[in-house]
Amino acid sequence: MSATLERGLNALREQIDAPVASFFTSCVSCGLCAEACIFYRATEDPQYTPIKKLDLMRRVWSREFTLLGRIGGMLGLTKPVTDDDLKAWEPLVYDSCTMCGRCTLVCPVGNDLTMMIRKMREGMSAAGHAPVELIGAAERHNDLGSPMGELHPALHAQVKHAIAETGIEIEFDKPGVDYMVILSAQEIAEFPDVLGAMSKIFKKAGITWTISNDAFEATNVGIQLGNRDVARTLVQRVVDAAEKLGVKGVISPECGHAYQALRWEGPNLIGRPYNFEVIHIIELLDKLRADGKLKTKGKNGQKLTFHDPCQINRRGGINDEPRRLMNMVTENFVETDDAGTMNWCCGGGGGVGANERAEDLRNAAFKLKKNQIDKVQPDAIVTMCAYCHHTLDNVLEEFNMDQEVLGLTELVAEYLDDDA
Amino acid sequence: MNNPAFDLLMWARGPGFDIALVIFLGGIILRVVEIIILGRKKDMAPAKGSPVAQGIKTIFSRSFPRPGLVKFAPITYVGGYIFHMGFFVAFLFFAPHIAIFEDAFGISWPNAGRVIIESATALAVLALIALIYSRMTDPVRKALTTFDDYLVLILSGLPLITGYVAVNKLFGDPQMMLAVHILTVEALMVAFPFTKLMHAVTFVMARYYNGSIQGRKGAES
Repeated sequence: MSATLERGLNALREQIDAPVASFFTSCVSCGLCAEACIFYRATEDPQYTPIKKLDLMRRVWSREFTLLGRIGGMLGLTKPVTDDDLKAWEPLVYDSCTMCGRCTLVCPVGNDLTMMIRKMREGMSAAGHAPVELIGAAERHNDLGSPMGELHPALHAQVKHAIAETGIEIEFDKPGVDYMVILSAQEIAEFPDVLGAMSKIFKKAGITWTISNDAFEATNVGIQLGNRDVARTLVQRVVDAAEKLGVKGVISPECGHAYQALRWEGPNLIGRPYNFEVIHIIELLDKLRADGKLKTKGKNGQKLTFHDPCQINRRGGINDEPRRLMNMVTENFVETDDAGTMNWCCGGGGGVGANERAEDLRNAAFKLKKNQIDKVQPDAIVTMCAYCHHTLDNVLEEFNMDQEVLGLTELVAEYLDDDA
Repeated sequence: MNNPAFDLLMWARGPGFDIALVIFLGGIILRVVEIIILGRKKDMAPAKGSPVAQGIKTIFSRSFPRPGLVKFAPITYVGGYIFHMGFFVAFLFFAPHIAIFEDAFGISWPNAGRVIIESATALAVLALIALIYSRMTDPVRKALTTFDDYLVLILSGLPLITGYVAVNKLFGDPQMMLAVHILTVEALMVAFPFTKLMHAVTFVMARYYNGSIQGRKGAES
């Protein structure tokens, strides 16, 4: 057995806990998880049945964590997982799963399949069977501060631009303010308007904030790759910066897995709760609205629909907040079929968007999202995740659809009541 | 006097049942302990929702399908419901079965009439046949199915079929058929802890974990 295989299997073994064992014990192979899966539904290829993607982890559990399996193993009735097995499973675990979480909600025995994929990726990456793009992104993020490489100059340029446009100062590394804002690389590179939008909203609401030069990057490729060490390092950077500045909270930006990483996995990765709160930008805006600190004037008259990012709604619990904000600034808000908790993934999450090998599959999977959009025929689609935004922009173009995609924070800022 | 049917019935009711019960209960305890000793790390993220309450709620709420999904796997959903309900009606509401519980634990409850019991049994068996058919033909089910899946379907069906035969004295010696019925139940009990039949116990844990993980985040389950 090679050293990397052993390392991968050990990482996998470490992930097997009571929930995982109860899930595998409960599975009756009914296959209903397939009906929830965007990749199965788009292709009708049975290999994309979610529980099938977990088969190697199930085999390790069965052979090593059950009495009967151990006896079977000793008698040579079952085969150990090999490096070739792991290699063969790489496309199933990474290319055909965005960790969107739909299967977790339909499994009749209650298996959290998505959480198990997250865990299985720990073993896969430790064994050296993860997509090169994710490994590259992890290296860049670790060495240069962002999965896109060195983004300091771009960030400073965008901040300068936002200051010029709004006339509102944005200060770096300012201690003692209310919030530290972190951004997704995608926002810095592609959707920088969010900076000006936040600036205007926060000024009106009397919120003080800053950006840390040490930790402005919110994304965390460690949880997509399935590498706790990488994930921990990246979370720790944000935690250290926030605690050094003594802020009350960190605002998690419009980015799905960033919220998942910092808000839900982070304290478990670093082994302790934070000394500050983590709030998603949309949660904060909704809170400001409820407190009367966010006042808008006028409404968007276009036919708008909302795309729920999986990690923020289904796996993150933010469902009503964006809808209250949508109703505040739009007069023709239409929901798609399956909107909310059972919304279809954009197809780019969980590292699939960065994975070149998965491109055809990703485009095929867009069929489900496309059906949702085609049925309501909106003028534009609003979302609260920069990566969904990026993915939707690309696939809409690929499919010659002319809808525009908007970020919710920018949309709200557009209707901010300047006189209030 | 030599009456093999009677002897077999006495064995099935006596030592046979005791052996099956010990394996059944001991095996379940073993499997549950096997799961629980693996433990679960304390979640340090401050909860937004209520993990315990939602975990408990999900144990029940997951018994109902998400709207719109049934049409994608009708045999699995409808067959699954009919089998489970039919099996439990026949098991729990047939007067002689209640009498066994009364003998053992001193508790009893109203029984269902013959029409209900026999319809439930027949429907459950038909549902099982449909589920087996779907495992053999539907690509998703076919790809997932192993020997274990067919074994548990057959083991679950045999007590229903043999019970129906014994009660209605369809063929064979009535004593022999009753003995066979009891033996099929014992086979089901012995296999239970070591096959996918275990889901009937661990689904409670799995659903609780699922609900509590989602509930902590304030997300639906």
